[in-house]
Amino acid sequence: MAEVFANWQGAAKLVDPAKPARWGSVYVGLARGRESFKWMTPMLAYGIGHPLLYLMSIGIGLGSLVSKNMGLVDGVPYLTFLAPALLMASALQVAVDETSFVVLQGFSWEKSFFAMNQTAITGKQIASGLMYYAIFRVLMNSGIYAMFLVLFGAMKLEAVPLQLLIAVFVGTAFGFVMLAYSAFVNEEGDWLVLMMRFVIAPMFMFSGTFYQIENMPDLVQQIAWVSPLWHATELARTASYGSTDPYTVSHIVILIITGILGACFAYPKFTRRLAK
Amino acid sequence: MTKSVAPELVITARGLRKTYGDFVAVDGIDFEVKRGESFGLLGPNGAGKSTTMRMITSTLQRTAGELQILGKDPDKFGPEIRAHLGVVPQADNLDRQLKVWENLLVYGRYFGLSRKFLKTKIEELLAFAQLEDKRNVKTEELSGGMKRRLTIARGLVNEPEILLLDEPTTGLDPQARHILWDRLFRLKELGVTLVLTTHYMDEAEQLCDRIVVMDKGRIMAEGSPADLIKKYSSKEVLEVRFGSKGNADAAKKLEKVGDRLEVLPDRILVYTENGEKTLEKVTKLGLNPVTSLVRRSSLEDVFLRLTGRTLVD
Repeated sequence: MAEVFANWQGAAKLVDPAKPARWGSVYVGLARGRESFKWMTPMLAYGIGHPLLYLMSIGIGLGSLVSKNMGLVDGVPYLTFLAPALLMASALQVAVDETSFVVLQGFSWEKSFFAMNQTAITGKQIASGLMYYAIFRVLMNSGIYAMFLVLFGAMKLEAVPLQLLIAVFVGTAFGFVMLAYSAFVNEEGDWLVLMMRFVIAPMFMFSGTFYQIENMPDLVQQIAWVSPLWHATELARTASYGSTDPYTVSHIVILIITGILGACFAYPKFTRRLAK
Repeated sequence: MTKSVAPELVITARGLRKTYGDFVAVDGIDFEVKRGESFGLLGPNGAGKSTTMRMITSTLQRTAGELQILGKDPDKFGPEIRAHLGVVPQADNLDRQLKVWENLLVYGRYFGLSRKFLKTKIEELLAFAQLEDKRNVKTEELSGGMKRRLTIARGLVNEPEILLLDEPTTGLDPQARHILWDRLFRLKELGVTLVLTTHYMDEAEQLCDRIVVMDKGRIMAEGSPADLIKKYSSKEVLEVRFGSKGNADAAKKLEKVGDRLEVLPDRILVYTENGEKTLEKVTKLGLNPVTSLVRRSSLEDVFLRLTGRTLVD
């Protein structure tokens, strides 16, 4: 039997606090990855099934109808118009997945964040670690999605790197917002469900994913301006097929502000909630 | 000539206080813990033990007072201090989605320990927790006692200077408790400082060199278990029962028997230097208890004397 005390050195010799101080966020991200990979099969099924279904049903099915009646949309075939928007919507959804119930689980259900915080890991490192893994998943998922878009002829291969960059950009920006929001949610998670139903789900409908917002009433256009997804979609369309957009800089600035605001609330809240 | 060196203090608390709004959880307590010592916080639920423990673990900020852990202020150097602590919280907060061995690996990584070191360490800890055959089981499938053992093993992954155990043996069967006590003794021999909260008197007596008795956020008494018993109780206790209806009448007649009386709803405790002789006196008074028991005084009696309540109230 291995003897736990035989080679005892003591923490003073064994543990260098500088190491977790430097790499703590990465350790948290890797741990989250280890948990998450237990769900690899459903994750991959979602990653592959989602683009396949969407591209076949909406892109090709609805696309042929739109093309027959309207011809080009935004100067390109409907599928080309739709592709960057689907990619961004998917990126945002994955970011939300990784920054919502996971946070509730850590703070309330399993209290795993408190276990992490018993070690040298800080609240800020936990928040950063979750974001690292969220970004990794956005990248992985968007990579699979983009592969299908290219296979279906909806996007050029050379456009993919920039698309992935924008996907990570919106994932990070809105991920921070969700991370902050989720950190304020207690026990039951009702407020999280409300967020999903009344903010996230409508966001997919009012962000110009399936149609140009210029065709919509003023009110809907105003909603789009507060939607990070719309800004990302516009950026992605410009980068994908060169749609002209006078607001490119505004989109970037708004997404940066969204992310910074989210982070400004998320980090202190993580620290405070663990110290209660 | 050898120079005597005072033992290093690893924990110092002065006027330590924690409030939540108007509620005072810990009310300005003072204590010190020396390196290698086994120190216990004894008290009933709600006494402020766990709150004190969380402040020592450097995860809960104090409201007022001074606190030094391993020579540092936890409000300023929390992560550095925690890097050298082992923590066993009251509620198991294992990662339910991970397997037993993965819990140890992931936790060890949070201290920046290498995978190579942890490979050996995990084997040692699995043996310590007697969970070798459960290594690949998800923790949600473990029994309560197994989870407790794993949580304790996890707290040792960084070979802590101070091991903090909040109600360590709650949920363990008697055999497992004794095994754990034995392991903790061995840790102590290695120079590890133990700080534990408990409401089990036998645990405090078995494990602690020194204890503080807490109640309502305050320290009621401090000393070694033997000293506390000597100071606040008699050598022996005679427990007599006269049935719930007969206790009050019997108590009146017993007033001059023994050094002191405690009348509880179900029994009367007679504090005395010689239990058998006192029992004889009781019989001579014409009282016939339904049951009688002579035992040594315990920390339970100390607590009862200090607070007027039993620990399990």
